[in-house]
Amino acid sequence: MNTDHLTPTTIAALVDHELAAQEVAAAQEHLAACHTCALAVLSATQLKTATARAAQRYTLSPEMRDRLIATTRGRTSGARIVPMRAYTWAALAALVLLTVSLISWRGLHPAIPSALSPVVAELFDQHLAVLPESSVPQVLSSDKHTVKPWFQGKLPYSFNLPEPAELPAETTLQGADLTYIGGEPAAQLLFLTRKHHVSVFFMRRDVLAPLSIERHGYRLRSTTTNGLTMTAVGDVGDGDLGALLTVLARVQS
Amino acid sequence: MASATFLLRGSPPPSSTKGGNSSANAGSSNIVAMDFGRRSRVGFEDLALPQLAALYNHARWLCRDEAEAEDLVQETLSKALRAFDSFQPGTNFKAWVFRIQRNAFLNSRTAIAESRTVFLEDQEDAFDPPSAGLTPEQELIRLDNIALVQDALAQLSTPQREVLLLCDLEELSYKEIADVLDIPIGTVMSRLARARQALRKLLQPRFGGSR
Repeated sequence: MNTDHLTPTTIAALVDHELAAQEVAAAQEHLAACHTCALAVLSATQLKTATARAAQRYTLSPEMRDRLIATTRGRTSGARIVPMRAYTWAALAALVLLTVSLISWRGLHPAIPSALSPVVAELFDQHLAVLPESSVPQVLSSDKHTVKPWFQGKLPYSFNLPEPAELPAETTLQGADLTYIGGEPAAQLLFLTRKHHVSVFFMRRDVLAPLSIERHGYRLRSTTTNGLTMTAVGDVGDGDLGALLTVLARVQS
Repeated sequence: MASATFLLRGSPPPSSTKGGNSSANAGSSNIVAMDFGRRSRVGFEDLALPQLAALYNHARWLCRDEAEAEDLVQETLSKALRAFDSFQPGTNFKAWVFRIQRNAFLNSRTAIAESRTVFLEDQEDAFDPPSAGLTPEQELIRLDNIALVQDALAQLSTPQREVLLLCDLEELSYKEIADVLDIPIGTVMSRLARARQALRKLLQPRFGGSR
């Protein structure tokens, strides 16, 4: 009989059924006579059994089983209802709230085009279109009493023009065009400020929010007054545009 | 050393079987496609469906999340189905599909998160000493509390937990476990011993007065 105690490795291999038949026989012969090793084997067996029992913890629900079987049959697994966690619900609720708020806000405050609006691009383009020497204003006059009446019947609104003396220094009225901005008729007044061309567009209110931007060397400044939106575009400073708009706004009231 | 003389199981002929301590799914643990002729009749489903419960249970222990575990099993089945031609008849399908699941798990969120955790190296000299001073009856009472053992299992590192599950619950041989985990057999043995040692240690304080 082998009197050497079984090593821990042998005990583990014995309980894991990893020993060859002759090794099992030898171990059993020793265990029959060695209480210490028999207890060790018993302890290891109990631990293994308890581990197996405890590890069998999670069961497959019939629904999940069906979904998994569907996978093996080549059907889409999209039918799985993904469990919604608390934060998912919270995010969804926040999204709904945000959407409702946005819709309500848009209802109360109709969208006013901003600097990124296509209207802005149209205004710049329209100003550039009148710059060539060959471009002649539809109404060529510095007289407000000629220019203003010319728009009667052409615009769904009216506007006033200042006397030449009221205009900022070195600024004169050159003429005007009837143009279309955003698909609506608008008046384009052509001014000359220190030999720089400046267009002032008269449009209905809320076509453009008040703003001041610069693009490719040209500046655009917009303001609203008395039911009108006035937008000045030109290659002059923001102060010059502001001064011109201030004079024009003053005569509208 | 005794381990040097072991005749390790897990390779043909498949006559050696694991007996003794049966677990809930022990009956399905040794599904083996016997030969090419039979294989043609035994479809993928016939082999895979009996493993669904085991794959899911194992996935839950790895992922700790129901939805992620289901996704993992689903991915495992898809990959196994596509790779079924590479399955060698005469080998253990369960070990084969568990290896696929293990590789799929390595790409999961949980595994990637855990990859930042450094586990202790497996040591060849690790062993599993019995709980000295406890009578078999005392130890049996201690291990009979399933919730406590589950709690202790949950506290093990993932490498230790999965080697224990594959050995004690799924009843894979050391060689099959080595294939599933892609590690040497010696590492399987030392990791098992270390896992059992850790499990005993985790269970011990709960019965501090019993020693």
